[in-house]
Amino acid sequence: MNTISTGIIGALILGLLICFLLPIVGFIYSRIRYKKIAKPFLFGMLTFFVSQIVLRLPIIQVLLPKFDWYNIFVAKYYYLYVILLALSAGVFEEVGRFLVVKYFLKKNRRYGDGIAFGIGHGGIEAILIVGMSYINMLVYSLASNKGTLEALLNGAPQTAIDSVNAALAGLSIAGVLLGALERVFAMAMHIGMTMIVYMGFAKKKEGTYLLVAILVHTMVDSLCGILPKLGISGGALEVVFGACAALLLWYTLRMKRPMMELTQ
Amino acid sequence: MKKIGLVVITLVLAMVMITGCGAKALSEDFNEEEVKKAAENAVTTLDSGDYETFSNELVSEIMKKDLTAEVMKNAVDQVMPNRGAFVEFTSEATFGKTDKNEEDYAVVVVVAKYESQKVTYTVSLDKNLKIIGFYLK
Repeated sequence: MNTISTGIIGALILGLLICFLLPIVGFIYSRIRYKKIAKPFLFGMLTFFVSQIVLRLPIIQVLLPKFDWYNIFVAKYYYLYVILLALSAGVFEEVGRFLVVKYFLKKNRRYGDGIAFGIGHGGIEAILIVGMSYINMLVYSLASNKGTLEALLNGAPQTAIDSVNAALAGLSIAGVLLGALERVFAMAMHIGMTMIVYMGFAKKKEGTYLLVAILVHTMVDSLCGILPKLGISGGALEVVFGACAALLLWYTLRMKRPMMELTQ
Repeated sequence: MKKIGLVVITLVLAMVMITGCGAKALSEDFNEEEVKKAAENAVTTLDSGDYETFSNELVSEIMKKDLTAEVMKNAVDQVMPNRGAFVEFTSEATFGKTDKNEEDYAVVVVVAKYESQKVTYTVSLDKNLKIIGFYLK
């Protein structure tokens, strides 16, 4: 039985709040600042959900592993596999952004709409990918401390119980908080990449800007997959991630005036 | 924006070139058939449940403390508890790699088909054909 410290439980609660409050606060901010942004915000969420949860992840996690050539490719050409995985994320998400803006947000292409779209996209990603996981970990942690974890997992196969115990044993305050911080950086990046796509529409160079968005997405995701293999620590990786987020945030702020001039 | 695009393309291509394909030909110190047989033997030993033989006789000295019988049993229980009977090896690929000390080693990726699932094993072998790495998924 694992005893999970108060510090870790506190970190899980804080991480949870960050993942859930980030999009809510972001929505409220952009609503006040830019008015009528509900539609791009919701479409931002939908874009992530459809492009990743419905389309890409089942292909990557369920379909492709059925093929021997794919499993051999992953083991034999690991770095190339990471880059192609990152490219697939770039293609699915950025093309998804592009198509949604092109066909469903024809009247929602202001600067503020782009901000809201990015917040929605990054926000639902934070909730689904990290937030839900933190809820599970929190429930398991509290149950473990009360000695009721086995009762909670009653009926689950032993392998599942072992997985939960292993996950609990691997928790650390730093790890949990870094995970939440990463979501903040990810949201800034999604806003930035949304802004790239939006600028494409504003300048009537949609294809060029879409390509840039895909490449930027590919590069950032590739770094996340390759750097740990090269021995870069989790903390250092977050510094790199943060730098990428800062660059994209800078781009977002720089594009405010040009976009407002183009879309007025 | 075109400049940014060119910079990003250059960086992505640089990443591809720097990281390389991740695999090279098997070193001349290895016989491909022997390497494959050693990997298959490791898989069938593990599959039979003889974790003690796997760990004591097939794993190199430096990895014995990591690839213990208990670790291997837990891995099998986690990844393939209900796999059913072994059917056949459906695919194999052999290639070479170099470790931090510039020592060549062999890697065999073996895909095994069971009644209920397929499992991909990645077996790394030193020049004595002892296991220095073992992954299954």
